[in-house]
Amino acid sequence: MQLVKEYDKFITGINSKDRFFWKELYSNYYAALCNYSSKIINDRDASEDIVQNILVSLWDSSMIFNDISGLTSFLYKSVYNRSLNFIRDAKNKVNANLDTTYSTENLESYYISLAIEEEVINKFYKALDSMSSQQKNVIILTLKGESIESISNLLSISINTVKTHKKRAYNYIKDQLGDSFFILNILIFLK
Amino acid sequence: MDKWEDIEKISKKIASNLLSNNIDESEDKFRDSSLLMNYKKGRDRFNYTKAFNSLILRNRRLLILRYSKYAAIALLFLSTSLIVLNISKKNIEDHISEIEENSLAEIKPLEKQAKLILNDGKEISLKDIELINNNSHLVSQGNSTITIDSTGLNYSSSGASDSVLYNTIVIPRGSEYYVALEDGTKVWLNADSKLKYPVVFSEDRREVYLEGEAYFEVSHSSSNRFFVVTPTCEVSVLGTKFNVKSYSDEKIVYTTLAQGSISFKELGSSESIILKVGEQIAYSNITGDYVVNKVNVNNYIGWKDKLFTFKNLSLVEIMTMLSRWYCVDIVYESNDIKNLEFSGNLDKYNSIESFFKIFEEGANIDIVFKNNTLFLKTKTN
Repeated sequence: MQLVKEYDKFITGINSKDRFFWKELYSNYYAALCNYSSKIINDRDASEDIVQNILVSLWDSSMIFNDISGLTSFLYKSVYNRSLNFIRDAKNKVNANLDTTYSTENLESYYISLAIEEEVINKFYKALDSMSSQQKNVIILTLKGESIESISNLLSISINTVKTHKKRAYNYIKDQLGDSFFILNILIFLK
Repeated sequence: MDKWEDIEKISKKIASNLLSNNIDESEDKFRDSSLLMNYKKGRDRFNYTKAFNSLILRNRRLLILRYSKYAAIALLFLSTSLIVLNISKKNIEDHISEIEENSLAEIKPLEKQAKLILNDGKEISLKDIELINNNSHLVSQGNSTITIDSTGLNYSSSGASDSVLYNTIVIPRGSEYYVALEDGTKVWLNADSKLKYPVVFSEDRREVYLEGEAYFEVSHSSSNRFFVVTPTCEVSVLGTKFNVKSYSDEKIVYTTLAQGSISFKELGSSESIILKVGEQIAYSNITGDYVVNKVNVNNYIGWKDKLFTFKNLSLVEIMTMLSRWYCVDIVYESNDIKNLEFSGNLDKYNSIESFFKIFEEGANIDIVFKNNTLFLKTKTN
């Protein structure tokens, strides 16, 4: 018996509006999407409204996704579009002067790379969250460029323990995340 | 090709590199780990739980608005209460069509009946016994005596026997039965269930085999564990109250604990899971996955007190339960109704009609009863 991550089931659950999987959807994307939107529009509350509106209309729609890629790109693209609309509408109110710069291809590419950045961090933290706290610390310190010796000093653990943690964390990622990097915190079954 | 479609792939690769410490292969900007840390601060401003709850609340409110009118009407003529909670995106028509009086009233549970199979294969129809003799009836097997009366079966023994004799009780659809085992353990068996048990338990291990659903009140013995074995898993206890639901036509085994603690494990596995009071483990026969949830235990054991209680169950789950109890088959003519969710409770010994009126009116489902089969579909007007 083991806890599993399964992401075909996740997509099916999203498509069939299963509440359990929708909670996972919120848990996995909500903060990332809000953060992304607030970078574009620089308005924290409005970014939450934008994201919630997208998710609510997705719930009400009969849209079907084939895989996680489709879902991820739909979500970021929708947030991008609605955020630009928000800026446009806000500007309209102020001086009724439509800014056309937002339609340039360059800018879209920039926002796509911003979305990728957001998603990298998202996946990074989701994976990190599922590790033990000491493994997590070892990984974070390693990323900060600390050597094995200094990690051993900082965390007051032996050099061998640091090595073991690094190795385990690496194996964990390889085994557990593999192809379906997407992590579901709770196991999936039913339906 | 839409450039947005690459987000998942690229971000997965970079994140994977970051975590596996292949920083060189990650994008340049992520080599600066302070960037990683700063992101977390931005992210933490947003609380997904609140947003998710507001979506669920919104859905409920929509539904209550849609259904409140029907619910009020229904409550007037139903002795049962049922709150329609969730998920129908169909617009409910603004009028209730004429309620047709059909043959649903005929659907009633059977009398209490069961079949007892003795160790030698001899079968006793427990219904016949009650019909013939209103008083109690005795059957002797080895060192044990079975008393059969209006409450059910009661086993007692005059000491351990040399060989283990097994009895099996089979409960048909539409019935339920009660058995008091030799050690004092009380078992309530639900419809369409089967329990095999020794007439006298051995000194070191009490073991019974269940297919279907049963509620156990195990008499305490610190030296002699009690095991409930189903085709896929095993529950072991010292002395507690719990419910096991393990029907062969259902994918999930539900074990719900009302008192004490129990240990649950997959057959053949060495790993066991300890449940605490108020917890339920749902185990998938198919994948071997499981999840433990805090539940309202009464929703899962109400059946033994002659109630149907359910909370946020899908129409399919409710119908499966009803089909066992009322001995009917179910055919879904529209798929979109299967996931409608309902909550409520109902007296098991009522006719099924009261149940269906609310499905018909509240959720716009059309129910036709023909050849002992219920045909369910979305109502067309």
